[in-house]
Amino acid sequence: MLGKLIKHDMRSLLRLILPLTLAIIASALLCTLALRLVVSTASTGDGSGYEIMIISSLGAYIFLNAAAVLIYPTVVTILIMYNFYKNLYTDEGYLTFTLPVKRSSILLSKFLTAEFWTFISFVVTSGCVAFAIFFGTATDTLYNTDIMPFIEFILQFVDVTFTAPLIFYIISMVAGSLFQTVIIFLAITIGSIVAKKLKLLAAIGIYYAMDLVTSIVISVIGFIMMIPSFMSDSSALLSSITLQPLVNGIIYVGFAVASYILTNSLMKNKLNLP
Amino acid sequence: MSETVLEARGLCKSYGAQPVIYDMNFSLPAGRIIGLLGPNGSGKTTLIKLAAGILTPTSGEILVNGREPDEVTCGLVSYLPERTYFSGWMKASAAVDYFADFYADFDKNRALTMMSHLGIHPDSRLRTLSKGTKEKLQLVLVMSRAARLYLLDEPIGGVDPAAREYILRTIISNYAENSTVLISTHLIADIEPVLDDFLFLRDGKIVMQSSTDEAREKYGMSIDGLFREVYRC
Repeated sequence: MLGKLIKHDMRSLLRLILPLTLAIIASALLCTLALRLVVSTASTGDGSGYEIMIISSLGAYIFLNAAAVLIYPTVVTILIMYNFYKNLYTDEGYLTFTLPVKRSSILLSKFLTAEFWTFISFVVTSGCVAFAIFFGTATDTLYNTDIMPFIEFILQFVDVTFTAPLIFYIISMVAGSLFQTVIIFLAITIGSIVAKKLKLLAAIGIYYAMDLVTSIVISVIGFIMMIPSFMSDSSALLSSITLQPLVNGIIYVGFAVASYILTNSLMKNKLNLP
Repeated sequence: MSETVLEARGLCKSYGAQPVIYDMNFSLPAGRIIGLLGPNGSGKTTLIKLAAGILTPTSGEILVNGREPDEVTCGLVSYLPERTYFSGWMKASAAVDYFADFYADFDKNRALTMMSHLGIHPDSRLRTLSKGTKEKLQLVLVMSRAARLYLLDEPIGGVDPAAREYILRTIISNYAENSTVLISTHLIADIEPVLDDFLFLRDGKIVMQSSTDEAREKYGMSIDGLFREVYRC
């Protein structure tokens, strides 16, 4: 049954997110062309007023497109959460919660599809930015050949010293994403079950409260971890700073697991659709 | 004694301090069509929602086939709420496929036949259908299942009289011998001919539970007349 739930959730989200994703990719391609035109005009032109006008116009266009690409993951998150709320806590919940499936399967399906689309939005955004930089900043060649030496320069630092912090940072980022998804689910669930009116507003308030508490916990634990290193040498301080993202990641996972269990329990034991 | 399909034991449901269902006790046997009747605010919809598992009792319990509502009872219950629950972007055929995917007891051919009788084209987008047609579609889907218990909340409230007749015929002809149908409605005169039993609700309590034949014989009037008598303002 989980597979069927995932199939229908994927279909439902695909309908919302795919047109937006295609529009963002098309926008990024046009943005790359515009960037290339700006770079080539700026490097070969004579600086006439006409050229400056073209560059300014294209610059504004590139800025708007870049903003759209960068906002895209946030819009995807909003769509995922809207879909979660609509499927479970509006009239559609009368269907979803009367399916012969465990409530934990419903939540797991929502979680997996949300994470899938969050990952896709990350890949699309990163891909669009990389594409624009790689192909949009070249003048005479297909792609910017100056970037390769730069990448090689960066890669030479990716040794034992930098690999661990990088991995810790990635763990923290992934854990943070899981945490964000789950606490938004929890906030929507609490808002829908507890609040009589303005459920979404209540959910937003609950989300920010929980996010704030988590940030405070992370800051306090981070500070406590640093205290011994303040009294020690600089290598101990560096070690504490290196470990910080890993600790953050562990805290995020801990809060995410607790929030997931609480959401599941509320859906199972406290459901009251209006 | 026939098997009990739906049972309430000391069932209470409150919204805040306001009790909606109060210390309700009853058991409904298999193989009956039962009217859940009462004025607005008497607790009919709340009781059906509790049985469907989308409301949690404040205290007491409600049992479907001896179990508290869960994923197993959802497989036994075919629930028609008083709202339309499919997304507007879906086609009628997608709604049929959705039911076919999740309910092992769903008869797709029966659903498509009933849809054609009611003039619902499978390619129609739900947002283009009228409210009444959407209600008909949901009823078609719900009645195309071979469920143990049908919970129908106002199934004929929003449809025209001709469709009402078809729907009532559908309810009678589609449910199996060991199934129970619980119908909540205000349109008692329309539904009376198909009812075997009825429950009268007032302020979240059962004030009368009887078979329709016995009640007619005992009080010398129709169930519709009895309702007017019991709930006279």
